[in-house]
Amino acid sequence: MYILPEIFISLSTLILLLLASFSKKINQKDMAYFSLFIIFFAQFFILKDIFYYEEIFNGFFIVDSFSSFMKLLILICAGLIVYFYIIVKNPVSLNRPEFPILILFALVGMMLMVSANNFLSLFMSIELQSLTLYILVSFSRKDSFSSEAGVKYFIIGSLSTCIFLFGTSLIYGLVGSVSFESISIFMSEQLTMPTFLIVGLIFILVSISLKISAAPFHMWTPDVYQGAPTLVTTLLSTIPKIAAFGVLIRLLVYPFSEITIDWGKILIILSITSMLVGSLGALLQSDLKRLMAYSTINHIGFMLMGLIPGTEDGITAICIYIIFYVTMNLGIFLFILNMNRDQINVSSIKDLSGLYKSQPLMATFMAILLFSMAGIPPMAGFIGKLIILNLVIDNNLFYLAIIAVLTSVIAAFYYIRLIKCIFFDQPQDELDIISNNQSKYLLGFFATFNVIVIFVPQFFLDLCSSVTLSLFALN
Amino acid sequence: MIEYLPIIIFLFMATAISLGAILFSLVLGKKNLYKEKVSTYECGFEPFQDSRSKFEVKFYLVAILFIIFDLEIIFLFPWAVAFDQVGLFGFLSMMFFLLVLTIGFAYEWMKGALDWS
Repeated sequence: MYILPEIFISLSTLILLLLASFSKKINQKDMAYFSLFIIFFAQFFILKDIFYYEEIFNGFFIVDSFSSFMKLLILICAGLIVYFYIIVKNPVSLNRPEFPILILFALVGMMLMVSANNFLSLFMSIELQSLTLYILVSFSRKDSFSSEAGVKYFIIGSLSTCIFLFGTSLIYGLVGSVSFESISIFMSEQLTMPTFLIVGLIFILVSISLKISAAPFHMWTPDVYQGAPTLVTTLLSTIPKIAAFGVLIRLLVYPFSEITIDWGKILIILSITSMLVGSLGALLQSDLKRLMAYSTINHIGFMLMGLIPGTEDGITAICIYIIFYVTMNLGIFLFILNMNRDQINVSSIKDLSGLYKSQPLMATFMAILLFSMAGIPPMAGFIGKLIILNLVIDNNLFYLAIIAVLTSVIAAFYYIRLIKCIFFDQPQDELDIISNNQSKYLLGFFATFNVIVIFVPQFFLDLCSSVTLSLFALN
Repeated sequence: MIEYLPIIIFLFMATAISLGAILFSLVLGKKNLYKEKVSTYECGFEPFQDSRSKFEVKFYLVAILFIIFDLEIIFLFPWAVAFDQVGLFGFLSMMFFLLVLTIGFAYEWMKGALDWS
């Protein structure tokens, strides 16, 4: 049974739901600890089968080392976010036992997403994931910003669902099947590709672009990131992005591998606009969460660039970039989660000013993470960018590489502006930041990870290239 | 693609006719508006109240909860018809589905979603 981790998580989440409703004594902290245990054990189930390959439920789902790797990444991320929930001082509205339970349900959806092998199962898992995320975004329901963000996210998400279904119906009309395998066989038999197949693929790409917030489908990102509770923003900027990238990679590399040139053109446009929007849009932001939203768009543009050739090296580069991106993002959001003034979470850039004088250690960690985000040489972000740029140049896409470098320079400006704010500005008001030791150690861990990666890049390269191998074993 | 040509022609004609109807009546029609004419038509009476009135949010809740059980019936019906063919596997699958629904039901009951007060 290779679907065991998903079954395990969903059954134990149901039990947690019953516990939450019947027992008055169990509070959200206990729930979070239970969820942490569940996520921890699910990782062992995945590790046990990490090199297996099998299609299950009549080809509805596929378990290979790529999906297992993605699932492991998702689980580790989710575990860290639940741990953040335990150690960080949360707003009162998040103190309900349903919060970790909803995270677990979203987790099941995202794990099924990366192993979906059929448009129907893919649709079902995307829906499971999105419906839980809509609730999580509007979790502080007394807060009007959170509700607004929830409604916006819901409308955009349902639009994305409709577009996805429309694209699927077009492809089904031509192929007569929704399974990835039949689509792959159908495409290899065609002499000239039917136009409507590409139209259907474009619809599906638009829908997934809305999920990964690639420009020009990014409009919801800053608003939702700012309005959602910060912990949910942390979740939104990491796990769904990993899952959606897993889906995108499997879709483009497996059933649509015959038309690499066609979707390559679309991805070039998506990545160029994402990098431009992500770097130019962030320049005038005054809120850290909004700034992180634009930074996400910029990074997504970079990752999409790695997918354009559709080769094994490209997927490896994306996997490495995702690992680094997630560690940087989790670190920076852990910092934002700990920014409190008078017991209230603040996230404005002004609040950071002069932090180095009061909290030198935290300021240094944050500076390392920001340098890594900007892609300054000894940090992890630099290696990720280097590998992707190298790949793009190898494929003779010089103009793309030039645009990527130029936008990174612009992006580096706003990251370094934050560092200038932390180190050189006059402190205005005392910011009581990082109250507990766990956050300190964890932030230190993320910062150290970003520094030591430069000594062991080969380890990550080997790891990622060994998992991407399974994707190309099929065709 | 040629077999879809009639549909395209039909779409164009439909768009042209409907747009034409609206445009011509806008341009050529005589407009003689007065208060009674533009107000909401309500069987010849003066409108009693604004139709956009507020009502209890609990109705929505009941409607949402109803959808779950409505879908359950839709799912149970073909299962019951084909019961002699699905065998033990089908039976147990449906029992599991019902169990999951029951957990949801128990949750909403314990949370007081069904209390009308």
